[in-house]
Amino acid sequence: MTAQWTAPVTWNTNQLVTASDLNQQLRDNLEFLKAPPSGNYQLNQGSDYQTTATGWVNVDASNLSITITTAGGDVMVGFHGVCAPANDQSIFFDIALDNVRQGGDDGVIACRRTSTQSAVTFSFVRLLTGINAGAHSFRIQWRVSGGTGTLYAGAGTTYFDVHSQLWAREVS
Amino acid sequence: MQDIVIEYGKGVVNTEALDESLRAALGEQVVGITTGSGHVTLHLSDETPPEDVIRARALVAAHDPTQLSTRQQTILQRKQRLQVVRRDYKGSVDLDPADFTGSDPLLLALARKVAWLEGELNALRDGL
Repeated sequence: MTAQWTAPVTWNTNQLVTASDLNQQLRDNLEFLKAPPSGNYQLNQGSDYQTTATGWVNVDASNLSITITTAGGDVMVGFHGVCAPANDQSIFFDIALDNVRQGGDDGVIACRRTSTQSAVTFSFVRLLTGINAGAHSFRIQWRVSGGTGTLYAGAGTTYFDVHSQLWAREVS
Repeated sequence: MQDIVIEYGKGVVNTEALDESLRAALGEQVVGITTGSGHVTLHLSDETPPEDVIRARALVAAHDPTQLSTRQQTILQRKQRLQVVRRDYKGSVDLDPADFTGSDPLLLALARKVAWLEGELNALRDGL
């Protein structure tokens, strides 16, 4: 079980320090800092993902989503992968915090394919701030500008059997 | 928008063709589809009536990934035509504009341009 974070107290002269104080202020807080709320999901699916949606949708209805219980600090989120937009089209990715997209507009990253490319490698890291303490979900969403977009998912596709990873960790 | 998640145990999905058949049947109610991880997710407008959701589910159940979309059929036909032309011209020598020296100037210009385009196409195919 992840240790709980407790705001550090201000110690006073001649204050009696109990075992409980030390366990809470030193042991538990250090354990929390050593192993902060964190989660990751690595794609190793039976088939690659594809979408034709020009509006924002989840890449996966159940996977590619992380839930962590935070202590109210900032959360850093990362995602990397290889995708294949349709020719002369784009795939846009965004990170949704509790089902609310964080990038706005065209999301946090866009991959565009020209006629001389077959796939695009991408990655992003994003710091999410102003998050209340509690359980929060982090999910990848995407959309295309047109045609059919593909996200390779470690499904055995020749040359593109790559395993993308989504991760989230509280960092402050 | 409503997401209808359907388990899909038949293996490969031809996403483009399935999207096309859904749009043909349900029109603008279809926002798109997402496939992968053993599921087909239909992204339908909130106004889609239940009977159309049932029709969409039936189309997914009857989906045959070997049936190509209109665009996929066009690409396949182009590839087949190209294969025929490549077979017919395989082994033929490159066009040499020098062979047209003394011909009509327009024909010579055309020969030079065809030779140039041939070189550009070969460069594209070879990734130069």
